[in-house]
Amino acid sequence: MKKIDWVFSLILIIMGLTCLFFAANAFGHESFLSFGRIFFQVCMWVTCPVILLVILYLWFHYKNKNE
Amino acid sequence: MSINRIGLKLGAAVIVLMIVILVSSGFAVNRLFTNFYDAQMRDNTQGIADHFTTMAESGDPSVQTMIRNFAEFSDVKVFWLNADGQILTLSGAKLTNPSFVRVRDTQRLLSGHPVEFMSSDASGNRFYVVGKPIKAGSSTRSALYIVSSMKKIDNSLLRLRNLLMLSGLGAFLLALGMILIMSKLLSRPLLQMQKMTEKMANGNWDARLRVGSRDEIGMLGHSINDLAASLQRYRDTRRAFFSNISHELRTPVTYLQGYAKVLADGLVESDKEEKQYISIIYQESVRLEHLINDLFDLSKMEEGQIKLTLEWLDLKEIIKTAVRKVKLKAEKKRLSLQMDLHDRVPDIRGDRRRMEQVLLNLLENAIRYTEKGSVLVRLVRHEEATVLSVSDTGIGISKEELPYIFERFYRVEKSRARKYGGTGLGLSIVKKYVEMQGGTVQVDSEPGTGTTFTLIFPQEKKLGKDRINP
Repeated sequence: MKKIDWVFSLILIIMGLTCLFFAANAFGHESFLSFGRIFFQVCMWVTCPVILLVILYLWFHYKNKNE
Repeated sequence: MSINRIGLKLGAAVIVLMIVILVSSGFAVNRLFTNFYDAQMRDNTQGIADHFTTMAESGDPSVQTMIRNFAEFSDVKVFWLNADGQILTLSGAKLTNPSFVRVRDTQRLLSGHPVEFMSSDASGNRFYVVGKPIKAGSSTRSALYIVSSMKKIDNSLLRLRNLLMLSGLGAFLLALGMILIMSKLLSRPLLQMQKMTEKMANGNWDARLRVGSRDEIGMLGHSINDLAASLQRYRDTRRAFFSNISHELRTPVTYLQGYAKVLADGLVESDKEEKQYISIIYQESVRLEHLINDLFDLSKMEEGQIKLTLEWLDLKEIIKTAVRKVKLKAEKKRLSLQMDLHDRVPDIRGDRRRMEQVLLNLLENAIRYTEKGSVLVRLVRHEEATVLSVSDTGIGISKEELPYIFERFYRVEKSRARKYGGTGLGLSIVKKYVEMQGGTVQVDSEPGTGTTFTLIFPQEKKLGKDRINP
């Protein structure tokens, strides 16, 4: 994958996330503080299942390796 | 940025799916909020209208002031419909009929039935209108119109729709970015495989893929690498085969040409020398014939063209026949040719002619590479198998060379002079024939001590009973 592909894809992802955060934040609470709060909440919601999946993957990986 | 076809198809499919999900969920959310606000507005306006009607029906002289204050407080407009069907303000001033007033609603109200509907003015502002008759006893003397503006609700809904569209756009862009990365990551190994197979098609079979994943694409990569390795091995074997065959054919032909020319030019000095040359020509022609026959058999076997005539074989009988055929050769070299054939060895299923050829090849090899000592043929029954072995006390084979002795044209004897003769195809033919008849070949050897070739045939049950030869 070329650098320009990564840059283009990341720009699209950042634009998409900004639109989503703004939409989640803007309904009557337009401030940077609430924007940050929403951003933090979303990050936590995404991070928790990712951490859980990583733990499960590592568990299965080492279990299979030992067998 | 190059858009490859897999990325395009994958992206188009996901984008279409995203659009369908976003549009349908957007409509659902919009409908949900609209219904919620409309229901809330209807309940509020109905409640206010009920209050105002009750107040108006009480006949209190201060009721108009109370209703006016209450209306201002509740942000609604109230209109009075008198018995003549004229619309008045609460203070009693006449009004030209507002746009929402319809004749059929007026008639309905004055006949004692409530009405409710949604209306909008020329500027597009929406109103929710509730009409309630004011009753005096059993008759209706007038009615009230309560008009609630829906401007705030419409503004909220407009804002909600904008936010829905914004979040839809965000989800779309996010999906687009993820699709671009995923399609590139998925299609990259496929493109590498396509380039690799293109190289293979152009004859470059040394190239290999670097496979990192264990998924289906990884398995495909391993298969392509295996295919390339097989093709490479095939090419190398074929090259070696042609190189060997040209050498093996050239050697006897060179002898034939050389000695024939000597004879033709009359360069021989004695009858004895002439006889010797003729004998060499004869031996070389026999060797050439053997080589051609072996090659023919081997090529037919590899093409799967050899059809075996399977029957129940008494190996003892075949061994005796083969030993009888090579006995003269063994005696010429003063070798002891022995047989150790056990009783009660069951028949095996095989092709008589091929089995005899296998034995002849093994015996001729044993005699060829043994200068003194003996050659022993043993036949025993071992558990569920019939075991035939040919042992000699010859030069033996080193451990390093053992894995290769069944390859075509492989010779333990590296000298080009071919001191021991042979075509280099005998053991290759033995292995193929034995495997075609369901058996396996093993070899044990010690340089300087001797070699033992062991053929193992698993026992097959005959229909009804297992015939044992006494």
